Amino acid sequence: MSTSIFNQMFLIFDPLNIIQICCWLIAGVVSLYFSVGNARLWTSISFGFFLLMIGQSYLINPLVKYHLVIAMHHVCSVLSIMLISHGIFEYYLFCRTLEISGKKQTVYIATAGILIFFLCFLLVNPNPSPNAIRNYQIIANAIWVILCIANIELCRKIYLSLRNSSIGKGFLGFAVAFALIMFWKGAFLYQQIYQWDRLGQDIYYISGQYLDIDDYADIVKFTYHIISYTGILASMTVVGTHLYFLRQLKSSGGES
Amino acid sequence: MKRAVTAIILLCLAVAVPSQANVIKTIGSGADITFDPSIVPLEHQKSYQIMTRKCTTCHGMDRIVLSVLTGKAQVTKQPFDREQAAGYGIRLMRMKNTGLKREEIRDVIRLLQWLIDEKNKR
Repeated sequence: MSTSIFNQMFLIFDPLNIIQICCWLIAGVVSLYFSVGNARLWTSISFGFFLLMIGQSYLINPLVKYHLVIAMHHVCSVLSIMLISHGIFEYYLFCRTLEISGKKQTVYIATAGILIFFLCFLLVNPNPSPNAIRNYQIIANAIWVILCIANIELCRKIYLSLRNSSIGKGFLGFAVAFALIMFWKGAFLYQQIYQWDRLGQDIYYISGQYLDIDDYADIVKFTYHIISYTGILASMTVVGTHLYFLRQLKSSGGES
Repeated sequence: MKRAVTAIILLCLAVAVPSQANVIKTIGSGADITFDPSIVPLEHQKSYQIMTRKCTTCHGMDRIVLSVLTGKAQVTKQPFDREQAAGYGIRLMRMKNTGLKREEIRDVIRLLQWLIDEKNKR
């Protein structure tokens, strides 16, 4: 019947979206494996990419009928880029000063603490409406775009510091991943600003407001393609970079 | 004294009549409960027919009626207000094989929003 769990999942049955989610699931698993099995220095970066997978998985979550669950997915998405940026910044400091502090557990516990805080925040506030969920998504995308630009610059600097090391090239891989994510999230943000995203269109349609989307059909189609393909390419780059680091760290005896 | 009693009765009627006018009338009970079609304005009659004919292929009419009357969605226990009703409509539009056209979903959601508004006027 139409209300089966399968229908609750993949609410927008777009093959490219499903391929993208599958790629991010693989990227998430590889990142988590890398995060658990490596030095403290890598925890924030890899765990951040794992959280990005959680943030993206709302499209296959059968609990999306609870608006709070979708909002939590977007919170995970924001937290993931903050964690990745924190990790990249830590690595940059490590390159310059060779100083590293804190424990892996601290990163995991702090992340869990922030997620619990946001869950409480959402619980004490009104149940998010489709508009509120869209606002969360816009904020998440804006933060992603800004921090990706900052991370590309930091990756460049780390690469310049580690040019002679075997893992230096890996940071070029991360820089490419951030550039792709910037286009992915940036195109999504662009759509949302003009209400051309699917949720924005649906909100307009249900409320009976006029949307000038037909006049810009080509731009909208083009941005949909950018979102789909850059998302897939970014996840593949993340997987490739993590596998490259795994191989390099194994061959160099686990030195960061 | 008579005048005072008459005035009080008239005042009570004046207060009571408008509030009674906005009560969402239902017919039947239990699983067979449904909105009284006579309260639905002409512009929403077509949507009402769609609601009773098509929405009930997946769930009972009681789920819709109780959600509107209690202000709480019967399955998810989330609040059921105008915005949340729109959310249900959007989710429905994205589901496959619902047997409902896009414009039918939009019209049914507008009927639901009208019913929610009427209930809140009480």
